[in-house]
Amino acid sequence: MDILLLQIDPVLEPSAKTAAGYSGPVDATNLGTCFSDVAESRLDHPAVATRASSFSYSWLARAANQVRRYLSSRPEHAAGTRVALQLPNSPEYVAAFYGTLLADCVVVPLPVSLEERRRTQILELAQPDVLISTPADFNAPQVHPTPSTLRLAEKNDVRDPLPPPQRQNHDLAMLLFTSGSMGTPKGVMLSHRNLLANADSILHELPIRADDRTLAVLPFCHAFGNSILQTHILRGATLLLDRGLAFPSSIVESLRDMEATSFSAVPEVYGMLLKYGRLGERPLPALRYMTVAGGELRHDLAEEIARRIKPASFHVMYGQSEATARLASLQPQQLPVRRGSIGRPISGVELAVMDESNRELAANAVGMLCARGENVMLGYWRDPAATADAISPDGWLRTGDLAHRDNDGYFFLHGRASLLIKIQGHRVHPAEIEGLVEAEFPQTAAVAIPTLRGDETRFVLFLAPRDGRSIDVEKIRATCQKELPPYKQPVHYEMIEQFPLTSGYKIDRAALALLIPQASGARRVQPDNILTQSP
Amino acid sequence: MTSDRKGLEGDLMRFVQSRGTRYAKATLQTDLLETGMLDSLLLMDLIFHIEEAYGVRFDSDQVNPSNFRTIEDTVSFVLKQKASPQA
Repeated sequence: MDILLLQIDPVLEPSAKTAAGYSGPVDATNLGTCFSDVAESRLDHPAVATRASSFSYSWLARAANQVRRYLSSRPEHAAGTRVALQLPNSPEYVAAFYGTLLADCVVVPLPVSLEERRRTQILELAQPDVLISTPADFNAPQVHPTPSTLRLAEKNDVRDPLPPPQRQNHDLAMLLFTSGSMGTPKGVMLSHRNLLANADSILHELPIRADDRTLAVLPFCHAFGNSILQTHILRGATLLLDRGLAFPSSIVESLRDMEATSFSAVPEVYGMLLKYGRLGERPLPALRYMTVAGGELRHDLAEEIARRIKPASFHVMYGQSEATARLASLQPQQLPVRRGSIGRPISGVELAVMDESNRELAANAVGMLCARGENVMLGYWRDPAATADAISPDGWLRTGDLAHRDNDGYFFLHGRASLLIKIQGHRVHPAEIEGLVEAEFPQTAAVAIPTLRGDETRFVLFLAPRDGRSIDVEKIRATCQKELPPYKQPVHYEMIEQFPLTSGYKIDRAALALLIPQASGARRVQPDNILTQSP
Repeated sequence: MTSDRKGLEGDLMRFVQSRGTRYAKATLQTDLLETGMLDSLLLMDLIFHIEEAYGVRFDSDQVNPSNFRTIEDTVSFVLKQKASPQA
């Protein structure tokens, strides 16, 4: 695998020329070409802006073409080659993304905070030929090929025009790794058509304008963050990036100082904004709307957000990686009357509630929420069996979410049909934690049960001995802390003699959930002793 | 008072360091913001831990970079709050 490190030349241009807004990816067939067209029409309009710098569409197009030339000129270059991106939200990410597509390659974004085990699994599955990073984000102790370096985006990069990319429509554009139903990573295969179709649907649904400035806190390497990236770039708008956005108050300050016109986040972030962010106490005159997706936001919190950001509007949305990103949206004026609804399908998307045999159920019956449209993925990477399970022969994607439809066509969720849960927008399967513990400690049976802690979902790990011997919880805790990213780490470890079983002799997870001790997050230390004990 | 500080420092250090290899090198003075260690999940976990373990509640004004930039900053804040409850 070749390594390419991107560095930005600190040469900034004055902004001046700005052409008219772009009309949208109506007839485009290649997302990279589509980006180039937008860039040509937006010229010096900022595509990405931080507090210190601004990166115009012209800059971005040059940078993307540098990446493209690097990839295309490799002797082993072939269409469909996978290119891994190990980059945070940055101008480099955006340049690498479109440069890869323009080179007829496939983007494989690696989540930045990925644990080493997971990263290795994903690299083994995807087998990328090239990994693109920056000197700051790339820290491998031993690298076999010496990394190449590319300085973005040199002005003197005037060379022969490049031929148009060959890949289009149903060709694979992006491999998005997510947790599958068994806890192992699954590569969601998204085509150029998938990405363009979903961006187009969202551009119809949301009032995204060419002069919009969206504060991008969601990672571009996830489906929702990727959707923010695509829709705003294809509209010729501006992505705002800022640091220190862990603090709810910093998010509100950034929205104000950077004059953001829109903001999108997962439910947990909105929970924090309400609790600690003082959202709405000071006006945000530039703000036009906010959206939430990537998990369920409690209805009362959604109404509270909507109330606090007025006159800006609040859009509750619903989506899935397997459907590129977003599937449904609740119009802001419907929020008070459709309590808890995820809304109706966005344009170009069909939603239906179905039974086990993929027959559509009548209104108000609860069943599997299914989706169909040009945004539904090609399938799972090198996993035809899982693909066949997920997508019916007539193109319906089984989302794994249970739902019903009311008489007016609004959809409401009723939890997951499988054990997958969402933590801060990350999809996590209990088997990821259970599998790790049982592999390292074969004498221990482990069951991870989601629990609400504050407003956040996290895991409690139940441990039972298989052979009657005692369990070393501290060793298990240390392993989880070493091997799992923080959001997957159990917040509490509970020992149990044996697991309760269902009548079918399966572990009774519902019964275990009732055994979670209250305030389990606090049991890890004996806190009051710490303040009084001697050193 | 010094023993309070030592105990609290030890507890919060363990709390942060135990989050994974990336956090293992954190010291009392490590700038958690500059190093990118402090994300919203760690912030929420720290607040939850401090509220549960020490009975110190945070106002929205207090959840800011100056109280969370380093572990030392957070320790000072908790001790100040403990010393003047409801102040």
